[in-house]
Amino acid sequence: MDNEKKNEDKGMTRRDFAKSLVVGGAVGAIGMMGLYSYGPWRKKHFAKVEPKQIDIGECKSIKIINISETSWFDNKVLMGDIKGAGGLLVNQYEYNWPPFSDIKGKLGKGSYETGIKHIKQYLPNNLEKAWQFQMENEVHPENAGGYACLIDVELLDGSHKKILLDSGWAYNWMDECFKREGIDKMLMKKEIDFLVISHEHFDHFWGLPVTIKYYPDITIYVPEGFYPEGKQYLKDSGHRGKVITTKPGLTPIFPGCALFTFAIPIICRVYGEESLYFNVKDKGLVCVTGCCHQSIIQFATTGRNTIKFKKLYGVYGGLHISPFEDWDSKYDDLVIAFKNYDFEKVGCNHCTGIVTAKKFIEAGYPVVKGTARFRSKDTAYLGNGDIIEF
Amino acid sequence: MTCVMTGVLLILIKVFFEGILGNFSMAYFNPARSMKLPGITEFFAVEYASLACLMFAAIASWLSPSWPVAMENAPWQNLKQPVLGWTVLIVTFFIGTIVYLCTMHPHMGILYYPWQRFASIAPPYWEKFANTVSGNFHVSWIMCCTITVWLYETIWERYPFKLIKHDTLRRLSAFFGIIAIAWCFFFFLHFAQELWWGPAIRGTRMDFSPDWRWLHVGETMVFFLIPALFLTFYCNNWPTKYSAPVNWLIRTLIAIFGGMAIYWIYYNIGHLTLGTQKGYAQPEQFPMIPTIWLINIMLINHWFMDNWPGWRKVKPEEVALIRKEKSPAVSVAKFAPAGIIVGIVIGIIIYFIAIWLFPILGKLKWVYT
Repeated sequence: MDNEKKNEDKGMTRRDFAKSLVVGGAVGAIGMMGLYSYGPWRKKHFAKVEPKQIDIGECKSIKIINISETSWFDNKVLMGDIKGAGGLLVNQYEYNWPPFSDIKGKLGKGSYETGIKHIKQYLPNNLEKAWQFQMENEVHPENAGGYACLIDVELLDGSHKKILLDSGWAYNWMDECFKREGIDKMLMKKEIDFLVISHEHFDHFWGLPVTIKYYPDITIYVPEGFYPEGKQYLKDSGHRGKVITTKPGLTPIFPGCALFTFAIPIICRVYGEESLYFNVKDKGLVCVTGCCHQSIIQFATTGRNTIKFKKLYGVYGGLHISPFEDWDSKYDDLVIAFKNYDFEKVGCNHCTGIVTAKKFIEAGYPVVKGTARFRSKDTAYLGNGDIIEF
Repeated sequence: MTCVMTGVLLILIKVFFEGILGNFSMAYFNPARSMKLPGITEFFAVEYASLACLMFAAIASWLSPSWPVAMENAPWQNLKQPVLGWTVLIVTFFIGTIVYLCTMHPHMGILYYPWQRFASIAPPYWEKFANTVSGNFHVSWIMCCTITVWLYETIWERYPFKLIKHDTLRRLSAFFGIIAIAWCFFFFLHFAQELWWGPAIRGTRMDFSPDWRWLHVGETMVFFLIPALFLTFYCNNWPTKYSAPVNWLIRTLIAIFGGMAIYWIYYNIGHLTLGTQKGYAQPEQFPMIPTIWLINIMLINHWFMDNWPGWRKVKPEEVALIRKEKSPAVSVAKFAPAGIIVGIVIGIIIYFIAIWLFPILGKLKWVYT
């Protein structure tokens, strides 16, 4: 009370002191926000993550045959269809796209249930008939292609493991590509050890019955995050083998090979993507991807933090930069930052985008050029039927 | 009034941006012109044009309220309407155009292959500082300015710059002070993300991408405006019984914790109702849309409907009376130097407690799902 009185005598009350505290507090807190939060000293607050590098072993070499990188043939048609169906937010099974077209179905009015009932009886052995239905009832079935590649891994003892990465989209196109590269015969002879479905997107997964037709018992790896429609399609396609769902993180498969599943949301209502790491003796780590929605930088950084290897050596697959040949400034960030990873061999295609491949070449990156055959459009990257070895 | 505003908006987009700018100035404002370029689909032509319009809107959302609120419409405050309104509109539009050309035009210039080096600065001048060539860096600080103007006008009741008696000094301090405070928030929210998720990695996508991190700063700021406007519009700026700084503190704390609660609800439950994917940074996740829509509805309800049906309609003469009572400056209050010094120390301590807490909270599953 005495102090209060003294303060009042000086014209200063407890209320004034409280006001001053608040004003001072605001100045202190907001001032620190401005002065401290973007300075170099802030970095000492970042948690230090000690890389937990796992030894996945080594393989001798890998050879990748590009079965098909053309997931669709005309960007304008595809984007028009996506827009007509409601945009990139829409559940892909509702697009009313092949092979889940409904009779005279309109864009954006489909569903898995209404689509599969027209073709289920034909899967997997009468794909011509199933696709014929799409040709008669879908808006642009001729625009569908697909993504798939064969990875032939030579182990240190000289034996081989073969991995089919993805199964494309259009039944007719994928069957044609499989026959062109001899994949059909390899599947029938069970020379391919397993199928990896990188993610649930239409152009990587919906062509599944083409693989199943030749090898119904094949083991399939899928990333965690498949939606009920996708899980049902695995069954409806006629698959009778084992389905292994990989959890987010690293899953070693055999010496020198591991899968990594990224728990990420992806456009068209898809969740999760898995990609492959190969540790090639005397060369280093090779990153192989379907679409790389996690980004190649994230993929490479994750490899650095989780796997023991000599250096980042190579990359193959869709790098998901400008899949529709659009551009965004963050893609330039990627092109600029890519040099920090010092890859020695870059085999890109598919959703990397031709513009990106050209920018990579202009930036001096070691991009392996293609031959632009079998409907691939440009030699700037590896096209259909092209082969790369690491 | 809402219909009139919608009509004005359509005219602005179709006539001004698409028709005039798109045909006689910068082609990217007109999707039809962009589509003539090889490889550009309608989808992305529309996106580029929309992005450019959006940036103009972001700048306007900062400058338009800044002039009446911070600059008190000076030096034209004595003009009558509609001369005053048109004058402020033209001046803010003029400044806004310069800001646009310096912030977003270089971003648009690098969207084309090859970079339009001779039509815009490429790579953009902010690249090294912002760790990205993306114009999201600018979208973000401009949104921070917008939110700060509104906080300053509503729950802060134009404090602290209201304490400055000299008119010109007060106005300039308020205008540039708001920018300074906004940049403090801008840096802090960026740092918060670094602590929460880890530092950005240039070239990567989604949560770790520097351009998204900047954009997310702007997105986050908008969450804080919702409770602030609610307090002002629907709670008569509660509380009002304490001294101005204490009222300010309580309202600010409500805005902070209210904003955090809405943020948490949006990212944990929003995807169930909005049809978006769960997660933070995928392309379909753009919380500025629902939050700004909500704010627009609140503004329409408050400005055009006098909060109807929740509150009685205020008569025009009462509004005039309230406005008249608002004084641009107040007498300098008594402050205790010791209190201010202790307050500064406490403020600094609170700042460091916050940055210590963020990495811990970021690891909690119920917070970060």
